Amino acid sequence: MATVDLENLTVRFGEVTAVNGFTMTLHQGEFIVLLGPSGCGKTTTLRCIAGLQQSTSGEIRFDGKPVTRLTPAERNIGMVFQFVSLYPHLTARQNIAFPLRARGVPRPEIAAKIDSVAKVFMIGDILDQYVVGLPPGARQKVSLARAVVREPDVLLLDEPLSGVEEQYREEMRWELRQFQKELGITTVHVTHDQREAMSLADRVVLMRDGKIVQSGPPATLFDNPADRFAASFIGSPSMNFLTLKIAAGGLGVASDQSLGVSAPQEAIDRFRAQGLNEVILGIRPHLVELANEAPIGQNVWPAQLVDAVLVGRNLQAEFAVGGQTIKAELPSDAAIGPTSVLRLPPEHCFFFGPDGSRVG
Amino acid sequence: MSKAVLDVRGLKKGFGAKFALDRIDISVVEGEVLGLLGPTGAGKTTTLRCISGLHKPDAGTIRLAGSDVTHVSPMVRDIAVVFEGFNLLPTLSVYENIAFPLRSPLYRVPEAELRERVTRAAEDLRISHLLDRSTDQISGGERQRVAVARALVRRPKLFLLDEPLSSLDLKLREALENELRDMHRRRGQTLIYASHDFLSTAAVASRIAVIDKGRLLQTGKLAEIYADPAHRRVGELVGSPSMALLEAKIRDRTLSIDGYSKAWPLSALRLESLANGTDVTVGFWPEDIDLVMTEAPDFSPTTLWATDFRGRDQAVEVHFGANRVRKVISIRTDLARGQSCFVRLDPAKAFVFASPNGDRLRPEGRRGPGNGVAS
Amino acid sequence: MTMSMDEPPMAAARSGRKSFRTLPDAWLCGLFIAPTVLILALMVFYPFLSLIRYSSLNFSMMRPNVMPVNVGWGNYVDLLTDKDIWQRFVFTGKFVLATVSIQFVLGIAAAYGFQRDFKGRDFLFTVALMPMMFCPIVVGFLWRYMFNSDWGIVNWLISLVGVAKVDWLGKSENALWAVAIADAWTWTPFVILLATAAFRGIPRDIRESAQIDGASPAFTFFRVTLPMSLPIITIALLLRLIDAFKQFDLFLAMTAGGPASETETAAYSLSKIAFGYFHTGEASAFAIILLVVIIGLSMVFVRYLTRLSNRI
Repeated sequence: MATVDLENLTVRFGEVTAVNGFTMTLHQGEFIVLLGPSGCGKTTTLRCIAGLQQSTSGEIRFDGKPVTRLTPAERNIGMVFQFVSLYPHLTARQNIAFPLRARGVPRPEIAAKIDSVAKVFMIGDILDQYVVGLPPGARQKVSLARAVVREPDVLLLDEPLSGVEEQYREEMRWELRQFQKELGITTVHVTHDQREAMSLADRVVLMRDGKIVQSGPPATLFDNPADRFAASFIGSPSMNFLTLKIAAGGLGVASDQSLGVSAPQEAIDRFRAQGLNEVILGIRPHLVELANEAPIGQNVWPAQLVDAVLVGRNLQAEFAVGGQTIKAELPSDAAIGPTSVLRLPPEHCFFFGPDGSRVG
Repeated sequence: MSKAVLDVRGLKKGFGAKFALDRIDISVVEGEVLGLLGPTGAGKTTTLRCISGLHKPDAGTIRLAGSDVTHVSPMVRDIAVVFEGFNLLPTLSVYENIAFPLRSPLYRVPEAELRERVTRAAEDLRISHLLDRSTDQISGGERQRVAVARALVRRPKLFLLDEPLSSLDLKLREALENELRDMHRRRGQTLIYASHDFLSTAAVASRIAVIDKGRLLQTGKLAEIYADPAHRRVGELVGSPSMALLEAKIRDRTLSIDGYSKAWPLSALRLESLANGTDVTVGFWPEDIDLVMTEAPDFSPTTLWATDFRGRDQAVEVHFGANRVRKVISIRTDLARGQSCFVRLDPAKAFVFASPNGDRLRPEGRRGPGNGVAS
Repeated sequence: MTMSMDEPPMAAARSGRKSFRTLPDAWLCGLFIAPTVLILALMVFYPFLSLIRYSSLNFSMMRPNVMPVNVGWGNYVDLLTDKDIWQRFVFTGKFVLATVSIQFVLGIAAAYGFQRDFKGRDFLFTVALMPMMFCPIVVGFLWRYMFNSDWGIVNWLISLVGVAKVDWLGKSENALWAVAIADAWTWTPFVILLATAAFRGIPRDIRESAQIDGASPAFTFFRVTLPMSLPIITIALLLRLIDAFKQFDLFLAMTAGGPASETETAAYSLSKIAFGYFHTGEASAFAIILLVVIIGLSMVFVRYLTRLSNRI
């Protein structure tokens, strides 16, 4: 268990900057998830921590000791790869023993360590099977066991669940969290699946184009996204975005000023002071309300139904409002017709500038 | 009256000693999107390959727009397929990839018309700006759109999508599901969409066919499936979270669920013909289960096993007896593993399945959907 | 919106107009494979069946007009009870062991070295592969001159380190090694090639896993790389064993089977019987015996291979 310090980590491949000035401190025992779309630099960052990738500049420290020049073998880490790279010619037991034998740990000690780790992951009964025949869940556990048997300083997980079938994934997520809490190892997990990040992380680090967009507990990223990208990336189904215009009369939907939006006057003044005449309104679909009885006014608008799909027990309805689209998640018995009235509660509305930054 | 575009009856296909498909019946009407939902290895790909002609079925008939195409070679059936992995031709540009099917000697499309159709397909999929690029210069989402454009440009009678989105990022998948729905709305294209992901299928399909181990378990609109699941496996594959399946036993003419404090008389479930000592599985949709944190009359104690933060809500797993239930609840920060929670199950919402074969035991004396319980 | 090509595809198939492009797939396959089948039948199946028939006769090619007598298993019995023939097999076995051992030890070691990228690696690799491209009889003469006891370069080189001159080709124990060296020189590149391919085929994730697990390069090589390469190496081994078993050209060039018949391999012996003495019947039986040995060997390997690949 160790604290991990990443200072100004930068990785360049020719003209492409994959990681750009990544700085963060991971506390002991913390479960950090690096989240982002393909190409955002999360895997490159992970591989730098592992030592499989050399950084162009920047420092990495474990417990204050610089490791940037050390090889992976010298860093005392455990890693689980995306496609579970167990040694196929060995049994589960031999796989787990491998890192210990590679370092010349005496046999009795190896046996003891394997037993204790097998208990944690509950794989005692499959230890002597060849890993090739094991189901994906068991393979993951063996892979984790192998990674932690040496009691590494840091545990690194590179999208370990993406090769696992959907039906097992949820179960394995819960188990992964349990194991991590039990073992208390500082863990860095890379994924593009924001559901996974929400579920597993103590802290989520959202990345894009090599930079950190926002970092914090999952609830913070969900309730208080730092910018438009964070707002749209986190949460499924995605957030609605509507273009608004700032006119003399106040804030209204760009294509139809009669649809007014309520916002505190200081906010509107601030927008004008910043020279904006357009802002983007963001609201999550499950927070859009059906308000057929309410009088039309600010944040209460008539809408034409475009499409409605029953997904689970909710109706995912798509409406056209002033030429733009709003998706709402409503109960399956909601009374929607070709025209309905939608209400956007002001307390759930976010405002973004045209450049994507958060302005309200 | 929409006409049937595809009518498959009694499709059987085996590979060596194993059978992959066992008496599959599927019909699709014009303009509809049929979702083929099933776990990996269930037979979705084999079914699509038989429909497209890449596999010869061992038995059964396939009729396309009224004509029997069971033994007709694939290139002559008017079907387009998009496979997982998209299968774009790497040596050709995007334009040439899309134009490829039209250049086949079978169609002999004049060059001017070909150009027009390719550009129109590209516009529909919003990839007009990529026409001159080579296929290795475009992203995953763009490749998927090129694959769809290539399939659409022939304007086939039927369009088959075989798990086209599973290799993509979650967010990209969402965006492309939206586009598929959009495109379907605009063009009225008839589609079969095969996937192992329930949410993905439900987002795209108007009707769902649930398939497992080579057998079609149930076909119908999602609401129908919710109201009347035909098999335990249907409960496992549909819904997010999927159905809670609880072990129960018949004892003294009552049904008792392991770990649940109340037992229900068989008459309440209209299943009087079940014998004492029978093991059954009782299924509930999680939304029909009530869960509270403090003791209340009619509620049975359970233990909180795990919580899963989902952003706007959370999923919890509670254990009682040998049973586990997963349910989505609104966010609470005071939950700790091992604390007591209380659940209430409503026999009116119960679906009983035989154990171990999983067939649904429908309430006696009434045919049709619903579980017929007078509450 | 009607389609302009609504009709053509189905119509073409139904009208019965047979164009080349719409021939059923199965017919086209048959057409393409027919010449090969014909050639195989004429040049492989028929001769093979004849071989089996000859092996039960005391027929000689040189006297086709003499009525061959059916001796049943006689030829086989004669061969298998002949002590000299057994000597030939023993010699062949020793030779195969010697040459294949050299090939694999050197070959795998070289492939190990070629894993790392160093300056001039590609050039060195190409040079290392060159011996394979020589014609076997040329290789034979080349090494015969090099192994000449009086003025050969090999003896000169070993004399530089103080070892006395060796009579390489005159004594059968030495000749075994001399020919084995020549054969290994030609075919080690083959092993290098296959082993390199096998090593490259190991997924990057596995190699990185081993690094992270703290394994030294040597540990990784013996515990991961080699075991995972076993399927390909086994195939290479099988191929080399079969080839070594058939070795003829080198012995012809370097020792002509001498002194006396001491360095005759089974194949060499067979050629003498068939085209020296023209005992066609006996030679046919001998050929069948060799075939059975090689098939037996291959089957053992193939079974081992299937078991292996189920695991990896």
